[in-house]
Amino acid sequence: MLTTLKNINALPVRTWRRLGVNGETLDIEFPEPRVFPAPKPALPEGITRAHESVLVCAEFKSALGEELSAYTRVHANAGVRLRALKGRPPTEPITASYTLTAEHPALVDNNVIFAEAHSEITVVLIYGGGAGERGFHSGLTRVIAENCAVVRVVQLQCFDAGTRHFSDFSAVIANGARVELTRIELGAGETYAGCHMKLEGDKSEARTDTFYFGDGTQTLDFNYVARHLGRATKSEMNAAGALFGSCGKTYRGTIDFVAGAGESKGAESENTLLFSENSRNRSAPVILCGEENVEGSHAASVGRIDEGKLYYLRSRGLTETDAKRLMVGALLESAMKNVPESERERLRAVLGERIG
Amino acid sequence: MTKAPLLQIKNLTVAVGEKLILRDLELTINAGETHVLMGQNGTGKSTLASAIMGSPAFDIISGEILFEGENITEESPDKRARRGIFLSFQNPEEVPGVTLENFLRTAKGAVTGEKPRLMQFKKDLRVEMERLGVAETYAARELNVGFSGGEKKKAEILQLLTLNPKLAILDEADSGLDVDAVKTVSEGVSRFRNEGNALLIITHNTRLVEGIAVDRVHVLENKKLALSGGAELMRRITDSGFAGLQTNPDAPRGAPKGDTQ
Repeated sequence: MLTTLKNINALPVRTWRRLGVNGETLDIEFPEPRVFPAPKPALPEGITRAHESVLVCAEFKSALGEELSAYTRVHANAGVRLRALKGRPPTEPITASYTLTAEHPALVDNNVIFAEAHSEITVVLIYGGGAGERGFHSGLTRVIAENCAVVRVVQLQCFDAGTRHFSDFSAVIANGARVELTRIELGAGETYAGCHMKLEGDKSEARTDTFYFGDGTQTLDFNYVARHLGRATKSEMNAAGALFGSCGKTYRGTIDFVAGAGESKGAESENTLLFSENSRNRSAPVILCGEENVEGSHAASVGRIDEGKLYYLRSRGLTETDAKRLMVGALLESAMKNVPESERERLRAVLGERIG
Repeated sequence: MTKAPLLQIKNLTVAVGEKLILRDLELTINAGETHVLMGQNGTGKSTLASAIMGSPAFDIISGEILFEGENITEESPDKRARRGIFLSFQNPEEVPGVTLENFLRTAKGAVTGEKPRLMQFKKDLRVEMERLGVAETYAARELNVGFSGGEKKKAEILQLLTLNPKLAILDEADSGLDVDAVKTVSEGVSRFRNEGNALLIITHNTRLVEGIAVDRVHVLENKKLALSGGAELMRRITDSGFAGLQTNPDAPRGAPKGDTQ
């Protein structure tokens, strides 16, 4: 049945409609989710399986859209539920890998990460494969980071071009805790990704690093929110990517300083390289201040690659393709701080192939 | 069998759009030689450098560019670079996101066909940076982004020394540099220079080439090389300026007959 979803990736505060960044309305034929074959990751010492009920103590907000979030919670056919035990030292990253196939074209993963006080956990979610136009993914990852916990989530997406891909991330961060989200979006025909960081505790921190690559007629649509509630909180949102062909990309980044979040700092940056006159880029950085004693900044660099830069790089022996790979690859590298070494080479190769 | 000149330019005519910049220009540079190209502003010195490098901004109307005997007139800049041609840009481009070190290692791999081993490359790079007075931290900085004019010029010479081409064209590598920086750049150029390679130095003054043995000096005027000679020509220009040379583009003088190449 065709469902119309409104307010996908809705900007927290609406702006001029003509700018086209307030949010999207989408018609979706939700697939009938079947059990998705995914091996359960081995858990190192200090990490146990968690029940979804651990999340009842927190109030999550979806940047992607509550309706889609509810669908994912109800119809999930995969996902990891992890609990990092109090005071345990950091472990190796826990990796879950999902591959779409013709037999299993729909993945709906509901991930829960609960980090007890003074714990540290890194979770890597790898998405790939495809099933033509039947390829569908809707993922939801909710995180609670208790006092002084550190949570890193890395999402690596290389779906085939026909796939429709939704990714929602929401975190509630307590005193002195830190949550980092890394997203590498290298595939899918349509990508809608939201992230809501709720900096609830004093001195809590959030960071996002996003890389995207678009070509053909791809759609890339992002909505990131850092909501500062506690005092002396800190957020940093970095996004970078390259657009080829006639793809379209929208990036919304909102830093919201709520009254009482004094001495907090928020910074967002975006660096987009446009390799085609037909690609469309929209950026909507927003800083909301309900508190005076805060520091918010945004920087955006959106530029077409001019002949001069390409000529300069080519004069050093790089072919045109190599020059493009170098420039786009540099953006990818800047986003891969938390990506395990074992995955980096694969991502470089995927990107290189897509540019070539 | 006589070895072909390293660079041979025959009857080169270059334009930008409708505007003719160079007309029927001839120039020959052999391995082991250092040539200096001088001329007033706007006479086409940088255009010649760009044409040799294969810049898409200029149209070759007629003529040929031969490198080691092979016609490269239609070749892309990257192919020319892989043959061993290097241009030190007057205004190097800023390339955000790409670190100087990563760029140099990638470029070295491109011109040699083999990406250098990381640790050895880092070590060699640090040594050269120290010699050029470039702070080690610049290796991790984005290529030319936020560099001062002098730092950009030093970065170009660092690239020259790293890539070690057969022919280096330095387009005003000394402009905007203080006296000490010119000396450092000049020393870097001297380190590059050997009997197997060649230099074409475009400059307005003689400071850069003070420590370098110059074989030929050319003056570009009225779209072609109007005058060629030995190192003494450079001194004449320094003393009297271009106005005092009384050049005639149709009858090159200042050198023995047939010497204007």
